[in-house]
Amino acid sequence: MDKKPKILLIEDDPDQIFLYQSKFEIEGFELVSSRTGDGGIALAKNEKPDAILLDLVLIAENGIDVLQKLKKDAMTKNIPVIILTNLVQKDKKAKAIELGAVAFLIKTDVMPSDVVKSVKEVLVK
Amino acid sequence: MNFSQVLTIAISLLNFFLAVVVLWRNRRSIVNISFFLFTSGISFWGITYVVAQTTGILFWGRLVFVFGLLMGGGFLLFAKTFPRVIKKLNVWQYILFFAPILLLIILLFSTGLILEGFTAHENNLEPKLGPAYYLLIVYVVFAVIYGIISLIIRYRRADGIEKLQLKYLLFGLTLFSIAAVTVNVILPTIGIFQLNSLGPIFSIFLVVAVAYSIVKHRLMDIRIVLKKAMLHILVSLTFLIFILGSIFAVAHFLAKRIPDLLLVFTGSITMVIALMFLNPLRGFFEKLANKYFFTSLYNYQATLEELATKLTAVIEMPRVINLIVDTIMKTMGLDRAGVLLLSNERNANRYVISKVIGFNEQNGISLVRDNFLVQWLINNRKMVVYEELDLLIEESRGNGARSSLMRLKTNMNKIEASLCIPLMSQDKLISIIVLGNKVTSDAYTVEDFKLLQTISNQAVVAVENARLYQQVQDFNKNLQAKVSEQTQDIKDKNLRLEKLLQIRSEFLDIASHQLRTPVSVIRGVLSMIREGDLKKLPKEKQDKFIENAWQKGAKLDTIINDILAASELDTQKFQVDSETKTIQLEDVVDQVVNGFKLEAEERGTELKWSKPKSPLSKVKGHVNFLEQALSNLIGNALKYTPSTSMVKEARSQRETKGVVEVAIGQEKNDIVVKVKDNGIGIPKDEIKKLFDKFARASNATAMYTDGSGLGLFIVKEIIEGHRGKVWVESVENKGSTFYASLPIVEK
Repeated sequence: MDKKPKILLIEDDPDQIFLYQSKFEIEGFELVSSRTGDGGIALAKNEKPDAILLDLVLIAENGIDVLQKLKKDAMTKNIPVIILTNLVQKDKKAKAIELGAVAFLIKTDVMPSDVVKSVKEVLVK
Repeated sequence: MNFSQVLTIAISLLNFFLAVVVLWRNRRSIVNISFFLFTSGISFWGITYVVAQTTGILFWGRLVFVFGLLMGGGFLLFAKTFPRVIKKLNVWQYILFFAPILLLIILLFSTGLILEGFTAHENNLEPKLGPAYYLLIVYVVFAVIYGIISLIIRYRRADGIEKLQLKYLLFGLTLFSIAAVTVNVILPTIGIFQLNSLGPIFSIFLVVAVAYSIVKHRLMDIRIVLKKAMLHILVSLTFLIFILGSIFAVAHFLAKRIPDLLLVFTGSITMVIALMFLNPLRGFFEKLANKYFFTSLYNYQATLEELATKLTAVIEMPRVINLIVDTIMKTMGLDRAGVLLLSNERNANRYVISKVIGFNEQNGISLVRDNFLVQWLINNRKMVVYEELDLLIEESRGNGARSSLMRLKTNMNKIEASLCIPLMSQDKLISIIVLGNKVTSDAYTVEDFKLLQTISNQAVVAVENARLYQQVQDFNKNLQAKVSEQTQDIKDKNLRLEKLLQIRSEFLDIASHQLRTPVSVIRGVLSMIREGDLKKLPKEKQDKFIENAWQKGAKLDTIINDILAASELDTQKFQVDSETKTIQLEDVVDQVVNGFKLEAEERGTELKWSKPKSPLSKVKGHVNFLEQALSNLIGNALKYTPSTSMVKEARSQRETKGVVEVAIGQEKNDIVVKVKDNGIGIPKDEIKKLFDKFARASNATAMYTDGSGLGLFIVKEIIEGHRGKVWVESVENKGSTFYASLPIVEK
């Protein structure tokens, strides 16, 4: 069996981290998480995840800025980033796609299993 | 020839000159004709008297009587016609006046009943009078008394300038008549002839009075003529003195005898007459020449026609005013002119300078400053003539009018204005034309006044039209300005609406995010239960899933309530007004604190509160809203003050026991509620935005990710809606103190 795919979740709400962590582990993924953008970027460099789930509303940072930093850094720019957020504005989605996000998921629209499905699709590519 | 004779001749010549000038001024007027008859009668009476006395020829003596009679007739006629014909004389009056004269003249020349001849008495010739002389006396006395009485009656009835003219005339006439009748008519009947020669000399009174009246009060409108004629008088006198001097000198030194006086007189008179007519004759030919070469004199009719034609072509106020002023100034040859216009401002009885030539602008305005001139013009509807102001002052009743008129006179004198012509449109004084003097310093003539009156009548129509036109134009301009203003207003409103829309959409975005967060957790948990994922997890993890979903459900409820409260606040239903009840704020605080006791206990946080023992001053307020505001403050204090017992939420574990202290007190005119905690505090740079909608301090978000960000906004809206204030003092990691103050109700 291959090594478990590693997912990085950058999310400020501990309840949601617990939710997604449980689901992804059930599905056979390894999930690391950070509640801050900077912590997430550091993890991305150290853990070299296969994909990143990124919330746009963080405690002190803007998820878009975090995405920009990830895409600028040579070490992290090739890691596919999926936006997982409750922000529904179209301009936010357009901006994220423009910056290189591969998918834009709205939390209330997708159930944890859908998120797993999307991640799998991204990893196949 | 003695001194009194020379004086008589001089005065007679003066009289004759006066007579000729008056007649020349208006040959058709009965007033001028009768004045001519009267004055020339005096003149020839004096001259024939001197001739008769010197020569002793009976014919000349009888001529004296003839002119004396003519004088009486002329006086009668004058007295009945001056200053104007009130009632035309009928045939009988003419017969009554002139038939006696004719009769007496026939008697005089055909018989010796009046004057038989002369007798030498000492060095003088004395007339031998006949019995019919008394008839002559009767006529002359009748003429004098009748004339003076009718003039007195006229004087009493007259007003204005005519009264003044009559006054001076009467004065001169009475003096002269009484004196002359006494020395020339009454005294001779008792045989005293020595004073006869004084009669003609007394006519100097009349001359002076008439001359004064002419100069001062435009008597018979001959001032202007007189002025020109002065030249002739001086020239004539110079020549006369020179000629008489030469004749007497030649006669005395060469012929050693007195020259033939008759010839000398005739020659002198002829010369004077010739000189007198020299200028009128020259004027006549000059006029004739002007007519064919160029026209310099104004033609009344032509001026009016030209003005009327030009006025129909202009409508703008400045051009109308220019045209009127130019026309008047040019035709009259004036040094200065100005036009004051009724201000366009509504209800303003103010006049503004429209045009001035020669006048100082400030001076022009000074005329209407005290409003007196305006009122006078409106009441009298006729022009103010500077020269007539004295008369108006004399006639005015009441000190107010008198002093106002005197002030007006001083004003007009100061700015050298001669005339103020009102332009009346119905009862409104729409304009005042102010005129100065003629460049030649001549006085205004009656013709000038007539022309000005007609011009002003035309000007009224033109100015009124121009005013209406201007009003329409102003209205158009105002309309344009109003439209622009309202367009701008609409633009501004639009901008504000756009901004509101933007705020609204931001609100919706944030609100939707806040609502979606708990929903996504609840649904996520439920979907995992549905898909059987939860069974794959250990028991404690399963419990945590359920607990999380439960907590998020409660949070969702809070957020929904907050959002509803916030949107209700936007409609400002909670504002205090006169009908709002007065309350004891400490009771509200007490209620709220009690509600939190259990939560504080659970958190292990000490909640301190002591209600004041005596009641505080009352405030106005809605209890339910104030409860919500205070709940938010106390709830926040508990929430952001970590305690050791709250393991899950306490991100920063610490030793200090959480303490929340609530207090209430009176400060000046306010009741202040204080909520103090020793919690996480607020970063300094975030305090300012803390009360904004959806604003949350970063350390608060770190502690609880899912606050609505509406709590403090709601507090602020409620307290400010109650005309109170809310503020905070805080040190990060040490604690915060929130204050809410409400104004005490005034008793």
